[in-house]
Amino acid sequence: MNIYKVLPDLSNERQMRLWQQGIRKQWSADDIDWNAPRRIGGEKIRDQLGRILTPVLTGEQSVLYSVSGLIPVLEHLSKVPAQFYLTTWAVDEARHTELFARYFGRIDREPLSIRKFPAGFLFQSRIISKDPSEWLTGVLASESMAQVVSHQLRDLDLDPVLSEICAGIIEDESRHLGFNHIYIEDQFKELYAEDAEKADQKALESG
Amino acid sequence: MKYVLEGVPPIIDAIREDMNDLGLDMDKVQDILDRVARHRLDKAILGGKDRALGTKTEVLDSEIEIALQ
Ligand SMILES: [Fe+2]
Ligand SMILES: [Fe+2]
Repeated sequence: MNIYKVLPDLSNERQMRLWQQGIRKQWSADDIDWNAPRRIGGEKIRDQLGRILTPVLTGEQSVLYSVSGLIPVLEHLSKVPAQFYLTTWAVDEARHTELFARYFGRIDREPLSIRKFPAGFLFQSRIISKDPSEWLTGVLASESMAQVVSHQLRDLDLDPVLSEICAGIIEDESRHLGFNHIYIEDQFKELYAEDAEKADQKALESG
Repeated sequence: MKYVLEGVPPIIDAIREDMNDLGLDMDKVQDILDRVARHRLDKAILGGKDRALGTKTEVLDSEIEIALQ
């Protein structure tokens, strides 16, 4: 049985602000105009998009699973505001997963299989961790990558639906990166307050 | 983070041709990723250190801004 405080400690103001933002800025895959004329008609370009969007789709899915897995971990640590925020992060990644899954339908292609694209799947396994700080450090790399690739795809404007998806994801990713920063900063604040030498060592190991 | 970042080049290599054909600059993505992800991590760690010890480390955001242009 889990023991938790009846009245949760919600004093982490920065995390609570992000949680509020996370709720207010929700949107749905149905908000996208999926019937917008497709600008990418050729077989070849759709094959290519199918391949490059494979790591994007698997990335979204694996972050969804790892975020969901960390929600109970934060509960055990009594980090309630962070747990609140992660519930919205999970919704965000569920939406991103839905968006790309539906986009594969729009281009009438399937993602590459594990056999054909092992690197993409191996990458995801590098990020999984049950320790929130370790996970956030790893996910910082994949979230930064999602952000940079989304910017490039949005600016290329290959297809109006893909551009709209990317524009929405960029906004969501900035919240994820914001939380990432706040959580890691809070963790290191605690570590440095406890034992500066140990914290320096941990900082070195995180990089 | 190093361990995670090491997983990126094989992905880029596997789809580099498609990326180039479509106009994505993957070398730029890789370069930005290496610098920006690390910079973000340093910034968070040093921010925590400053808040705990009352020090003030200057961490510039210029590299992050480059990434978003
Ligand atoms: Fe995402
Ligand atoms: Fe994300």
